[in-house]
Amino acid sequence: MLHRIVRPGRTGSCSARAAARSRAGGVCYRRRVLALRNVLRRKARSLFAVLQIAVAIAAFVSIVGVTQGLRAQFYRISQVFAFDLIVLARGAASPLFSAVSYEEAEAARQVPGVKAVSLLGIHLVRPPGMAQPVTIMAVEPGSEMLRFFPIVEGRGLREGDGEHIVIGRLMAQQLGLGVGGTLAIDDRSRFEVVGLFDTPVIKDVPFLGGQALMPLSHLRDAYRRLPNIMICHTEPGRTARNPDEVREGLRRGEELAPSIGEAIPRLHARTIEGFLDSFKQQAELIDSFALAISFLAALVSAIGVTNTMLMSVFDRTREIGLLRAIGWSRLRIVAMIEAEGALLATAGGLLGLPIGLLLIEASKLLIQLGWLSVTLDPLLYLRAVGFAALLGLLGALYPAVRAAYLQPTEALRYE
Amino acid sequence: MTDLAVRAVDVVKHYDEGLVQALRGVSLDVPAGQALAITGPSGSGKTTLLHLLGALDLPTGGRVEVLGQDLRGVRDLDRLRNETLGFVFQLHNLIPNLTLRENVMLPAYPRPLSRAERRARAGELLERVGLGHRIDFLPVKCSGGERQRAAIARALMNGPRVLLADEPTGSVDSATGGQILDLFRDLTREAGVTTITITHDEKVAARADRVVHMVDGLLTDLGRPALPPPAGV
Repeated sequence: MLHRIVRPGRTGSCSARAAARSRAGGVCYRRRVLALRNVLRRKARSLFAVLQIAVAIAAFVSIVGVTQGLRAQFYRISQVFAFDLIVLARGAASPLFSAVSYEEAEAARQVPGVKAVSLLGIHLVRPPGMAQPVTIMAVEPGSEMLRFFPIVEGRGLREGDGEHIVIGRLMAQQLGLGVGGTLAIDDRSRFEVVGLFDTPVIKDVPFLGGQALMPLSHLRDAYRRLPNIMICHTEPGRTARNPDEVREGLRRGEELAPSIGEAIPRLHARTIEGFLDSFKQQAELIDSFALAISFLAALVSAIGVTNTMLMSVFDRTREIGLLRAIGWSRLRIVAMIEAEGALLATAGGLLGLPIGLLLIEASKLLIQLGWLSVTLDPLLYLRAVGFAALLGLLGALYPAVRAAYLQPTEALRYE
Repeated sequence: MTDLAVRAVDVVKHYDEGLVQALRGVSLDVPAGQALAITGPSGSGKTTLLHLLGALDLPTGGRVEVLGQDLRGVRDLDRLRNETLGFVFQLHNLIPNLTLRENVMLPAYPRPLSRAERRARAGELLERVGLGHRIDFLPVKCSGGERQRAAIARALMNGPRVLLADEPTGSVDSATGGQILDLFRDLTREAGVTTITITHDEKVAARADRVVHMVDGLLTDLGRPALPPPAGV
């Protein structure tokens, strides 16, 4: 009887199937259970390590979420303007510093392939009662651009309108205005509000969105200013429905752009992709900066895991010495500590996801970035949790190796 | 010729680049199945010798053989310890957040056994050491004697050929120590396990087949006869 007890493994009781089971699932199960028990031994210490990781993952999720949102926005803009060319004065650093004459617009209409032309003026002003400047777009009544501003109350701009304005619902709420109200933006303009529009379809297009619309003629008559931008439509009213159509529209635009340049040498025609290029670059710069910050947060949290796991290893020196004495290999010790680090970090990652989403919502509320859209991507969350687990593994690596190389004889004497 | 379980040949162990000479040339043969006790004052090198015989460390000079294998030539000492040797320390060294059964199962983790087999074997061993009613208790809920008995069960989990014990009764009272020693002797003798026990206690030494004495890193007595066992044993 006793021989059976004290001679396991040599009596043939261990089946090959059991061995395979042990190697496959059993080892992982044991590691998980042991790791969980060890992590729960010092609850407060583990909680702080989890929080550190959670903060890093929250930063990662919010930043990457916003970045992906921006990319999606850029794509939507490309869909809307795929079959259009944006025309500015050659060398203008920004649409604000560009001017396009009515004669040049007429010349553009004559270029084969251009089916319609829209002229846009950009008027930046801070009306009384508004904390921030607003962009008033000056458009021709009947312009192709008006389709992006769906009217929800009152009417749109008409031929013959002068000091008439259509404003966005949000601006109307902020100023307490409605249809029939009066909006004086400066001593040259005292507008009658004739309509309200909903969120413009192109709200997120730099310099092409706007919070209010006034007739282009008013910009000319009251301010003696020319339009800033000309948009040449190759297929008026068409929006690309998929990436292939976007590519097709852009390709056609690229083919047409040199013709416009030849017809009007002072102007430079670009596809929407070219137009947004500098904004994309700026966005990417901000992305890079923000990602650098989140990686810094990740580094700090990985150091936090290292610190937590090192303290844990110090606390358990005798235990680790015992495990080595009873035949646990160094690799097994490394795996145990790494599993603990990964467990802590994964818990942090799972906690960081909702915090990241809350962070985005809070940012939107605090800085009133109504245009900020965030992509809620399950793959991103999966990556974030994977990234957290990786941080845990990296953070626990040094403590794990240190634990594995403890001399059993010294570890057993450790007090 | 008797098979040797453990053999030490002119073993020297230095620490701190030779400043500390823990062992100064120890030679010892331990036949298979023998119960050997090593006595000696503190600092005489007993624990160092036990660690070397248990493949926990390698000697600075000389050689140690376990079941005929020279430890210098063993590629995987972890495996040798796991499959061949068992340890009982003065302090039980049970992991506090694992139950007694889980503690006893620890040596079997590197072995190709199923979870059910491990659990069953650990349960049997705990029953055998009189802890069947404490199987799922944490060590903190058990007495010192119970913990040490669990440590013995853990040492026997993989069916060792040689069992090394460092003051196994050093942390319990004498009555409990007596019970533990009885159990220790019964289990090891019935299974034919070679035992090497370090002790200060003459009563513990008296239960051994052979007693050796160490002073200043040397064996001064290679096998004086054991004292007569206490009455009733």
